[in-house]
Amino acid sequence: MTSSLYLDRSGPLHAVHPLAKLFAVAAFFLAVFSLEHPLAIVPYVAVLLVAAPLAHAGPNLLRLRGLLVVIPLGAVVVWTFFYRGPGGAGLFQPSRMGFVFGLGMGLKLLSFLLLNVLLLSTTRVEELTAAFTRLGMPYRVGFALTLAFRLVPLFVDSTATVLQAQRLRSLGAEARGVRARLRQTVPVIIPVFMGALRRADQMAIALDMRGFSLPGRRTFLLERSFDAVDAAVVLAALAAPATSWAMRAVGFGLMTA
Amino acid sequence: MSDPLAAGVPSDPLLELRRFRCRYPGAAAPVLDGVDFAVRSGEMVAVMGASGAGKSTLLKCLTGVVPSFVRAEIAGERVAFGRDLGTVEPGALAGRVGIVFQDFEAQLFSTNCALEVGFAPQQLGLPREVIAARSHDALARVGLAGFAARDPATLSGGEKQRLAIAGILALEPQVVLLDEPTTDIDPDGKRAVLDLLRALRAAGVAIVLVEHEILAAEAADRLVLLRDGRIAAQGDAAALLGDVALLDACGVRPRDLDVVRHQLALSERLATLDDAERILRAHGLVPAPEAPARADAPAPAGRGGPILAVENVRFSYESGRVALDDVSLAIEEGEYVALIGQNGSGKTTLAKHLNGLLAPTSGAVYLAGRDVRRLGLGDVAREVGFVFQDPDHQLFCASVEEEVAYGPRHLGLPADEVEARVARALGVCGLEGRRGTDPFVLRKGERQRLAVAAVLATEPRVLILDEPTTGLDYHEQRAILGLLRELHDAGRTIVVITHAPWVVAGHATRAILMSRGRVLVDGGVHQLFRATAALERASFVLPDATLLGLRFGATVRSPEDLAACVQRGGVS
Repeated sequence: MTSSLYLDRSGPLHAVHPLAKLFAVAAFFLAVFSLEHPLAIVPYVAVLLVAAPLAHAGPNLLRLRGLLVVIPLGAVVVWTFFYRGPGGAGLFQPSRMGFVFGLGMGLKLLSFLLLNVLLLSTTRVEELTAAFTRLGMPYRVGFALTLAFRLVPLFVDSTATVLQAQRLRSLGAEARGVRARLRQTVPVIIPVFMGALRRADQMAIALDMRGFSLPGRRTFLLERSFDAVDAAVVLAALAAPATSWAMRAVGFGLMTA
Repeated sequence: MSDPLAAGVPSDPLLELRRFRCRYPGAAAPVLDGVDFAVRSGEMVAVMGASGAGKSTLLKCLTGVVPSFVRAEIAGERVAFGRDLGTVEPGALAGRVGIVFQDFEAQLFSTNCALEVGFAPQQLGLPREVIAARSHDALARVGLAGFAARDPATLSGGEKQRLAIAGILALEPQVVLLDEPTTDIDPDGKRAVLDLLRALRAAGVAIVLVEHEILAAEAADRLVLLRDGRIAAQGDAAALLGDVALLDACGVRPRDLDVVRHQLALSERLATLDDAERILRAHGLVPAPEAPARADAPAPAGRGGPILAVENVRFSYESGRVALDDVSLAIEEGEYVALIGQNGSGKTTLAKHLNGLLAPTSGAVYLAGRDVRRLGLGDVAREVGFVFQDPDHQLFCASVEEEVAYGPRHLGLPADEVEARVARALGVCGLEGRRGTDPFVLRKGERQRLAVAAVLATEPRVLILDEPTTGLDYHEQRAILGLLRELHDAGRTIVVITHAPWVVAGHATRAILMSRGRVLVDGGVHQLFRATAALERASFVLPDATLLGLRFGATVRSPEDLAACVQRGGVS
């Protein structure tokens, strides 16, 4: 199976220029980031959920369902007890305002996760590299930025194999206590870390031997022209922060006591 | 784009080392010492030798990777395309020199095969249509036509290896350097890669091939044998390959037919099976038809049924690909089973069902009569030990001793029993003298034996090994196979996944040949030898000694067996 998030389908979001998608992601991020109240954030989450089928992102949402539930829920729990803003109670004292703020934070985090899932489900890392380069970023910097997206799936695969090996070698013994559990992670961390170092070393050499450090202009196989549809996407994406700022202007969207 | 090598004189040889010496920091001895090596257009040079002889370093020095990326003290001359390599960055060779490293997976980082192959041409700034054409052509040449849209992560090991080769072919290099390019490839795939290399040579490409296997060297014009960093011999490949004693001294497994000639003290070269049959008949040397002692030894009676039973198992991956399709078999205690088949035939998937790492989509696997799904993974692991193909996935302790003691300690055994088991396992695996050594400084063969020792110390009833001889030299292969034979003789059940026909023929008592998730042949190795149609369907070629024996109606498992049969048969 593939461990990368990209889903090779033909859908309307797949067809959008990566620069337009990057712009839309940034616009949504800013819009949601500037809001606090869950009722103000809900419409943005709803838009992203509606966009998910257009991105054919269902399999990824299913794969990452744990993260998509645990992280927002974690935010709700933490802020319920730690919120100290308007209308909040003391530390470790749950408050209604804390719960509402936590719900807003949870929805924010959910929307950030959804944004990334939608972007990576519909955009190859090679397209992102090309997009960064088109924005004027040096090729090597753009490549390095997207290298994480390339390597994470490889490390996930490697970790899965090492975990299999370690589960067999531990003979099913479950550690009790924090220290014992931490000790039990060593058998996984060492082979994965050593493997990662070796792989990074080998990859650097392989990249160089395949012309990565050569000067001059690159060709990008996946580079495509920016057309009217892409421009429309950019304009539509501007609606996200515009709406957010409008809400704030009329006094909606922020926490008030 | 300026080419720093363009100013040089592109005369033969293309790459050259003169009186070259290389020593890694902290190493007691140089890894290369006084080496003179050159490769010319249209020439294929095979470099062979034991692990640690300096083969991979030779390739890295030829391209400047050592010392540019890997620190080392070097002396002597390095010349690339007529210029001092010291004045050229290694990356500047891209486009002229393509190299496939031993760790081919580290060379793959794109999201589909077409992009992977097109990576290097994109760096050269070639037009898109040229890149697309090269990518398409390179994939077809390595037998991956139709794989353009596949994610490299979903490919089998052999397919990834061929993809890495395609990645450098797209550069249309003048020199191709390959470090063990066929280790993970099945026999059919190996032949395809060698055919490809022959075609490249015919097109004028210079090829340097580091290999452990003789099949690759047979395709070469010239053979260089390295031993302890020095060139032990070099010259015409066909002539050197006949020197059984020299190859053995250099840690290289000789051809079966050369061993037969050596054992029977024949003066004529047995170049092909037809030659061998004709010459043996001319000398009246006819093998006796009876089987040698070890062949198809009946499995010891099971203790209350099979130790492992697979019943109508079907397994599909998330992608929907069916990896196992209605597989049923039973393994008796004390058997030595070889699991064979092409890349992607389902061997490893089946093995991972035997130890509970994978659960069948339908059907069931039984361990000593108990459904594996109802047992905890730990319970299965206590009885079924599994040695992964890459030993580094399962080694993590600071010393050899701790590594081997890890399993018994998790069994909750008392300290004296742990120590006894550690001593036994280290003794059996020949690592007794390395107790305090850090596993990561061991050689690959030693790490492989350590992985076996670590599993062995838990005293499982069944030992499953995934490709235990891959990447090892002949001495290391013999050491690990000798160890398995001893364990088997002591009553242990052994299951080996392998691509090496000589391992199957020479060591297993039973063979399970798989193809596309199904079992094609399941029986004694003699039964396998005569299953011609199934062997052909699975593209599995028997060792030459076995094939030669079959021409005389004799069933033999190794060149030594064949010679013994001839001696028993006498001169007719």
